[in-house]
Amino acid sequence: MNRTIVPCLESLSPLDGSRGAELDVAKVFAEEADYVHTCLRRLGVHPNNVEDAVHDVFIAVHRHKRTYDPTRSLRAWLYGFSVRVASNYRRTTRRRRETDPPLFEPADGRPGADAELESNARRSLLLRALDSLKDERRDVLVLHDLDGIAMPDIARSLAVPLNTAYSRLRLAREDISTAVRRLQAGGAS
Amino acid sequence: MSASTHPNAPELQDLPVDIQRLFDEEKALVPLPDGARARVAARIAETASLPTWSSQALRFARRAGWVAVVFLLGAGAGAGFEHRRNADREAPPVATAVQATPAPRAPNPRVAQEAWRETAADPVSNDTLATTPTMTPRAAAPPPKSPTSRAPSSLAEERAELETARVAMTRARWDEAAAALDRHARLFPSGQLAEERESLHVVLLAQRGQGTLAREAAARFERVYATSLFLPAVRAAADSVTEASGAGQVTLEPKGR
Repeated sequence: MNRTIVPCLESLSPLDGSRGAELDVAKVFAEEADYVHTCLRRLGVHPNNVEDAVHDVFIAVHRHKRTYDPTRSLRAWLYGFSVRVASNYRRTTRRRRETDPPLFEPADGRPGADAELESNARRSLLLRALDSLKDERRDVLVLHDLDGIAMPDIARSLAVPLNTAYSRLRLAREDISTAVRRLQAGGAS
Repeated sequence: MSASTHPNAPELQDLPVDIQRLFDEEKALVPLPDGARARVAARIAETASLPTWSSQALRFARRAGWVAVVFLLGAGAGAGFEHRRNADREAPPVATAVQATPAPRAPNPRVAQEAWRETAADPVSNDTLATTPTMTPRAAAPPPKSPTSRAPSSLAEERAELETARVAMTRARWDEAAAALDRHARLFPSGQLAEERESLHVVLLAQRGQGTLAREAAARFERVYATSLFLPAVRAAADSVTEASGAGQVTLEPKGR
């Protein structure tokens, strides 16, 4: 059975029927669900839980939509919710890690499967390295180096001075390099 | 990567080339998996429309727990007093009564969901699942009915049926979900959650790959519930489903109002 659901973004109207200055949660969901999904995976939420986590993030967004400042980066704001939701899910996942399936399914015998396997291994390596960083450093690194958000926006969203944000970015880059090297040396996949 | 986007940015060391390549690969967004978008949208719409239900349920459960404790202690004390008065040599039943019927605890939502699903699948226990759905595990003996016990709230019963359908849908148990929706339609044709039932009906048709039926049901839903909170999920499900080839027999009849 083909159950492919292609997103129909335009049809998602505001969940509460409101328009105007207030954040349009349905529109945000339509446009940023993939971003939140990606964030949650980067933040260590297991694929088995990520659907529930996406739901939790958007419920939090819905409940805090009146506090959103449109002059700030929407993605940095969403990232803040994702961090909090992910930390809850990571706590349970860590306890179960031994028995969980791998983050990425092993590739099968299809053409290009080897390349996919290698790509999955590289992504897994980076995610594990990110997972080993201190939270405050990882947040700045992900927002800046992966999501391309400007540092002043990041600093505002994290409520830290700009220099502090830069300092965290510098340290995070050092940490991630060290972590990747350590995992590579240990034969991480 | 350079942090030169800000004029006052301090000089930062770029990432090593191989690690930068890892970052470049990771920049691509990972889309929500097949079917997950419609499911999540439906759940968001539902949760957003009932923001305080869970906390109300928890408060109710806690109150019910305290009432049960007080009742059992009172009954036990009364029985013990009666025993002493009759000079009965057997051990007083106070402790036994309390131990045999532990006070209900605040519910774990995940366990509660399981309990609903399993209990609702049993038509015999349908009558008892609604009053305290989060505290009625399948294995537990049904509480004794007292003359003062109230009839279960139909809203809770309705919700339990729909929760059964929703859980079944998340586990791709289409027939089980369809049965729960049909049961709800039969028991509560114009119930308080009829709108939610119809929205789930559309999503279920879409998930089963029954595109034509899903679109028809969605159009009907939109006519009847033009301002529904569930409309986004209904539209998303119906508009995007691809008709399955050989999807199996259609067992779910489109519902009308």
